[in-house]
Amino acid sequence: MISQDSDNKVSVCPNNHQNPEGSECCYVCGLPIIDYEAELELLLSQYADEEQHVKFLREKVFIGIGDQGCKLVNEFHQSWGKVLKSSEFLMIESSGESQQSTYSISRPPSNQEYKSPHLSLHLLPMSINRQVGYYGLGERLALDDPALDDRLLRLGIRASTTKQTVILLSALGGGTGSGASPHILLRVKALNPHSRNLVIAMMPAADEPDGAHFNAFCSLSRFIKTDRGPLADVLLLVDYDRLMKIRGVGTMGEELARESLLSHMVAALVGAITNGGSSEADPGYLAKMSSSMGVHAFTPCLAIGRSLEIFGGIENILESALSSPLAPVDKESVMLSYVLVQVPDRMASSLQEKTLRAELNKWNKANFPHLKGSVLQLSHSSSTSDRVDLCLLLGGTRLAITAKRAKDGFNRFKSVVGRKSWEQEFGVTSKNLLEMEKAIDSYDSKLDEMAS
Amino acid sequence: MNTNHDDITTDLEEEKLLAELKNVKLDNVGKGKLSLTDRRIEFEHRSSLLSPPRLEFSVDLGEVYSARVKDTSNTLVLEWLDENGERVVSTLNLPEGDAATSLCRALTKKLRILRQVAELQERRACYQSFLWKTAYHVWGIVGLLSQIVRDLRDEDWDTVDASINKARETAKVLTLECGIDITDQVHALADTVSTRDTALVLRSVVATIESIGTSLQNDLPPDAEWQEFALESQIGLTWLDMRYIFLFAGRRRLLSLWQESGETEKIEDSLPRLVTLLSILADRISMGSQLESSVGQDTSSIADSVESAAQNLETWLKINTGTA
Repeated sequence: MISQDSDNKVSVCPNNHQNPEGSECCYVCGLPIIDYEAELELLLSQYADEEQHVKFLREKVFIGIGDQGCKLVNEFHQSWGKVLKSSEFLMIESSGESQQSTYSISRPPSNQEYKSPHLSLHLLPMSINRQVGYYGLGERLALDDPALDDRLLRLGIRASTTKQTVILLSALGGGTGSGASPHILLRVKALNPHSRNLVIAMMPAADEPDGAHFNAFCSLSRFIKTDRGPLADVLLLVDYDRLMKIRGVGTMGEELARESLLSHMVAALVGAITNGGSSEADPGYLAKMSSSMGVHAFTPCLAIGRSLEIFGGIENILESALSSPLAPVDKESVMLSYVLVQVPDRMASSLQEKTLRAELNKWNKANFPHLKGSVLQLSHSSSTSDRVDLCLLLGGTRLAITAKRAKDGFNRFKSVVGRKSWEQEFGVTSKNLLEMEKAIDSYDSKLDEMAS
Repeated sequence: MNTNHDDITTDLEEEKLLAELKNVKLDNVGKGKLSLTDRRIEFEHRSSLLSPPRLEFSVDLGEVYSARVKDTSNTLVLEWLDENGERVVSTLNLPEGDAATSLCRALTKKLRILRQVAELQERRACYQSFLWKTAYHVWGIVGLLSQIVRDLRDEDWDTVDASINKARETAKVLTLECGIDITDQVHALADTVSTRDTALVLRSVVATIESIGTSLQNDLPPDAEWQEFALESQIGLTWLDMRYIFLFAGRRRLLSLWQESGETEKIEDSLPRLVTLLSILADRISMGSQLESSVGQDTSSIADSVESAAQNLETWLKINTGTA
């Protein structure tokens, strides 16, 4: 807007009248004189300032896959969604199965400074009347979904988020959970190679057909090993039958069982239960450490809402947790022990981190002779009770033990199905099956090497 | 506006007689007087010496679309359209001599000048259409880009995708018809949108807005066809007005974003700027704005007046581009 001569600078009005530089209004027509360059620069900087309103950090992303996975994420979102900032929740289901689902999906409130994490549902497209009963078919369903990457990007999974933890919840007995979950995690890793991935895998119950155990074994093998390494940094195995047997006590004194107990475990993992208190819980750190150690499969052991007055000390609570592991564990082979402890603030002085660490070390030594690493993450809640939540994650036991039922089911199922029909009926080839067995064996062998 | 002004000026000037010729014979009528002024050509016929003269035709030169002189027969053939739009052909036999030649020359010259003036007026009208169209699309694209910024706040990607498709179309028109080429930026923006990275998309939106703003920085329109008109002093929109429409469009949208997030300081800083831009635009376009009396009004009333003026401006842009 300002034209410059060598000597005299002039400002031009909207009617092209020349005025001395700095004039506010034209002396001929009276119209205001605007410095266009300056106004443009200001306008652009003000648009750029909008970044403060559109920059969203998604540090934790929760994905539930398949019917059971969706239920777990839905339950978790309802219980803890409000206290988790910088998080996002997604349920992924095959379009056929979703027709029976009754998830309550909250829409994000608009015009709000802080948006609570919202829950969304993504349907993997499938033809009507088709069944996704097997791992291979579930994987194919996810593989054929052209909108999957976009859905994950919309969740905020992208390479620019360097500190991101993806927590995937899935039951591995069904086709969608077992087959789609590894592929989805593969896409997560492709979209954000920095992301740390935790899988909470519900293993099928003993009375489920061999096909369910077959699915679980196939899925585990993919989580534990792909061409580019393991998909899951931490794989928490939860045996359905064992989960049904244990109980916990919630912050309000209510009984916790089944999905709500699992939901509580996830909340402890991500530090959601503190209710305004402080938390050291960092699932990303656990994932990082597991990756660097090469130990990925863990057995969770829970002691939720244990009264300190009744149990007498942290050692007894640890024992209580260890007495009911959610998957088989061999104490001799445990190499990594992660302990997430939540104590009420009012008891912080009697249960100081230093004391807890000392007691934990002593207990670890007595129970796990081959232990190579231990992490304690302590949180304090504003609860007025004397109840302590403890979540023990034990890694290092061979999958041949931890997932024995899945392996046995896999072997039985494999033998009864004719080889020629593998690909068409179940979406896997005999070559795939060999690779799967090899993957699990290879993981177990590495653990053996580390132990020796 | 320009044409009306010219007409008024012309009406005030006295009509000048350029040539007059007697003994001209109009086919099927008879002899009479042919007069040529700087505005019209007319033929008067008198059936007898005592009878009063009768005007057979009087045609505005602007209506005459053909005047052919057949030198061999000294015949002038005039063609024009009557008030019903029907073609009228009049054949006039002129008496031999210099006077007839002189009238024919004067007529031809006058018609040529009139055609040139008409062409110029038509091109001026086209230039105005070009400016209205440019203003409309600049207004539109800034609106779309700002809407994207708004939707990024909610991460409403479906709406962002829809806006991107519209922005692509508008960018195509801006490039092809207005000489403002932002297709590369809009393509890049569309690519960025597919990453679903809000911060990256915002940066790409800002780069696109910058590109539009920079295109308007030149004092002349990018298309050489319109540059001579941009230098003329004329009534109606000017090329420089595109800047003010652009700035106003952007500021108005930012104001609405800030109102939503309650950013009072930014709103208070922005309103006087919007009022200034409006005062410039109101000089060109009637926007029914009452902002001239905005001094002493509270922030909310000024903002309401700005929004009302913006809506009127948008209506004007639509009307003048035939999209209303």
